[in-house]
Amino acid sequence: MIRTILAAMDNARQNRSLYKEALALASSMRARVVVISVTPEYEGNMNRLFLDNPDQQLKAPFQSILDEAKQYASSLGLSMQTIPRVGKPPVEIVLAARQEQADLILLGCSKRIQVERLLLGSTTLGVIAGSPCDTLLVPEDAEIKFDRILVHVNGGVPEAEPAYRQAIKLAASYGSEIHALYVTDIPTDRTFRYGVLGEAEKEGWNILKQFVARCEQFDIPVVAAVRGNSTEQCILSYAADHDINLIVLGYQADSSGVDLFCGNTVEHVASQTVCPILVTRKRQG
Amino acid sequence: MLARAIMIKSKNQGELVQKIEKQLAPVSVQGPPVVLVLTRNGHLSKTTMGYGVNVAQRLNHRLLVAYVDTMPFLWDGGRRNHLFSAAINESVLALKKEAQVKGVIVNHVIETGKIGKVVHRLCRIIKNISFIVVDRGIKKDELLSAAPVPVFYGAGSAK
Repeated sequence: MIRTILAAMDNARQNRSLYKEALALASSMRARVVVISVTPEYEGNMNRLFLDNPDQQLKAPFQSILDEAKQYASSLGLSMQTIPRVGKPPVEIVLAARQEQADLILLGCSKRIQVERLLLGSTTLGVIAGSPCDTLLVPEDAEIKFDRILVHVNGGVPEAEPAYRQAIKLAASYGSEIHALYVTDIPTDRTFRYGVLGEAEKEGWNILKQFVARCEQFDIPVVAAVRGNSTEQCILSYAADHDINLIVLGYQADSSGVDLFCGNTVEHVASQTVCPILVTRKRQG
Repeated sequence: MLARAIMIKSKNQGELVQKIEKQLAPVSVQGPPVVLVLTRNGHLSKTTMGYGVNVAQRLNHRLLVAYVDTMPFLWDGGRRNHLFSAAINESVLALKKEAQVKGVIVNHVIETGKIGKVVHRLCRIIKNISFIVVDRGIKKDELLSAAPVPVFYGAGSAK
């Protein structure tokens, strides 16, 4: 059950309506909304540029977002808590999520290419990696709906289990349709070998059968599909073709550091998607 | 209830009770039902204003006026934005004056974007909107597909 939603706002134009989506979601879940805005730390000396009170000037746009959000909520007769913070955005957001015992973090999706992400860093991945709860990534102008939920089913990976559970829970609560997608992500050279592709597809259907059986216990309508290509491309094209409202993915932490340079599946999907993505975490204990 | 009773007996009464209240209390208290008045102009027309206030008074509803800026990215150096805000302030003053006389609760909200999207979002946030009253300048096609509640057009406003 979601009791507290933490919406993390930045001053990007694309994410300006995130708190409105948070309010809409909270209204349907009877949850409370906490909005946080983190002013990045600045340790330079702006006196040389004849800027008075640089700290205040840096904080101003972030504070104005919080004020705007609070005013919007109060004019609709709703309550909203705002938290202004200074520091590293991913660290502060995760810290606030722990302090407020948030059950869901809402983040805007910034569309960045790989080079931008490498140079500027990714708040999204930082928050997802450290988050104590699930994270919902909301692209610009996207509406949070649960009519058609896409789940990336990838078998025995333990990180995928919370994604399956969350998708089934949401579908059961909102009467949604689940689309289960298995991707046979086989390197091109291996696909030329006789029977490899067929075997992978067969394995995929077996895994999907088990997932469908789980959904049927809750009378949830399921559409199952197997695709063969890179995981990100398959998820994105399937979501576009079937007018998907929400993509549910399990977060798989990479200890080898490959994510740092090549990006994570979640990041790749988030950078191109038009519908929200729910990234689930395996809960501790 | 049992948890509440045990907590009250403990030492830090006030703090713990507050904590529990925070967890138990409904998060969004939405109050009386709402009549949503929609305009894309800075000034709400007199007929729509009067109709909205009268209906809200008669039905014991509260009034929510949404001023929708449908051209937020118009590049004119912020002139339109400034004029829009000034007009809203004037309109809200007049509205509050009229509502105060009739004892109607009035709130206003400034929105940006397409009318349909704004209405759809407001209806998702506020679950107890009874119906929508539309001011002049808003096309039927824009609104009707997005509104999940009845829509009324004020005199001279239907297009």
